[in-house]
Amino acid sequence: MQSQIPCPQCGGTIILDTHLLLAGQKFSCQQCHAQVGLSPQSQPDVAQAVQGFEALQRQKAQVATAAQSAVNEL
Amino acid sequence: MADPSVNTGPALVSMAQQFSGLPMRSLIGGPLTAAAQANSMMAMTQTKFMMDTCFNKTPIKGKKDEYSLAPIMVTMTLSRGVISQTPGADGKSDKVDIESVPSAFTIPLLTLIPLNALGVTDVQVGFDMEVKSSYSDESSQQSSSSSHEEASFDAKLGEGWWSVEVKGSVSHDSSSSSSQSATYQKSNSAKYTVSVTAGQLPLPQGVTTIIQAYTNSINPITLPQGSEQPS
Repeated sequence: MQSQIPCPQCGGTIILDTHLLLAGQKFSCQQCHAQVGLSPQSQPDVAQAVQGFEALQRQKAQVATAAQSAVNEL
Repeated sequence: MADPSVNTGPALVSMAQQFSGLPMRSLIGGPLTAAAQANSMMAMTQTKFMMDTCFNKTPIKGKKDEYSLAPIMVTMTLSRGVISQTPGADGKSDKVDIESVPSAFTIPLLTLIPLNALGVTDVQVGFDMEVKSSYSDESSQQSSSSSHEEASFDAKLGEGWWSVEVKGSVSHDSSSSSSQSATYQKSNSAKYTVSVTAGQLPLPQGVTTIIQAYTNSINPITLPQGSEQPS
C-alpha cells in the first residue's frame, strides 16, 4: 500500500509503504535524504485505517465477482 | 438452372434474421452499466469510509444535525543531518561533524491511505455468436427379382418292336437386382464477434493545469525584506 507525502524539509516527494511504516521502517527523501518514520503514538490510528482500507479492497473484489457472475448469466 | 425434379429440401435459416433479433443494447451496454454502477457504489463506500476513519466529527453548537469535520492528524518523526563546524585545537583546521537532529511533524491520516486506488479500471466485453444450419437427405432404392421355370416333356415315337421314347426337361432360372442411392447436403454458418473495451480516461490537460495552479498557490513563498505582508 504505497502513498507519497511532500518532504517537510525540501518539498520533494517521499514515497511511503504504509505496512512497512507500521512495522517501524523509515523512508528517505530522494532529494535531501531526510528520514521520516511513524511516531509510536500514532500507530493505532494508522493501523485502524489500514484495516478498514483492506476491508474495502476485499469488498471491491466481491463486487467484481458478483458483476462477472451477472454478466455470465446473460 | 435448377432441376425441378430434384428435391432440394427446406430452405436454410436466414443468417441476417438470426442476428437482427439479438438484444445488442443489453448484451453490450448491460456489463458496462453494471461496471459504472459498481464504480459509483465503490465511490460512495470509499467516501463513507474516508469520512468515518480520517475525520473527527464535532457537532456545531446551536445548529442541529450539523457537524464540523477536522482531519485526524498523525505524528511523523523526522531526522535530518545538521553540519556543525567546530574550531580545531590548533585554531587553523576546523572539525566538521554531521549530527542527526530529530524532530516531529504532523500530516493528515488521509495522505497515508491510497483511496484513489479503488475503482474499476478496465472492462472488456466479448460476445461471439455462431449460427449453423444444415440439411441432409439420403434416399436409397433397392429392388431384386428372380424367376424359376421348369418344363419336361415325354414323347414316344413308333410302335411295336421299333419305338423311340424321348424324355427331356428344361429349367430356367433368372434373377436381377438393382440399387440406387442419393445424398443431398447443404449448410451455412455465420459468426458475429463484438469486442468492447472501457477504461478510465486520464483527466483532460486543462483540468490538470487548474489543479496544478491551485497546488502551486498553496506553496509558501519568501517575501523580500521590508515588504508588507499581504492581508
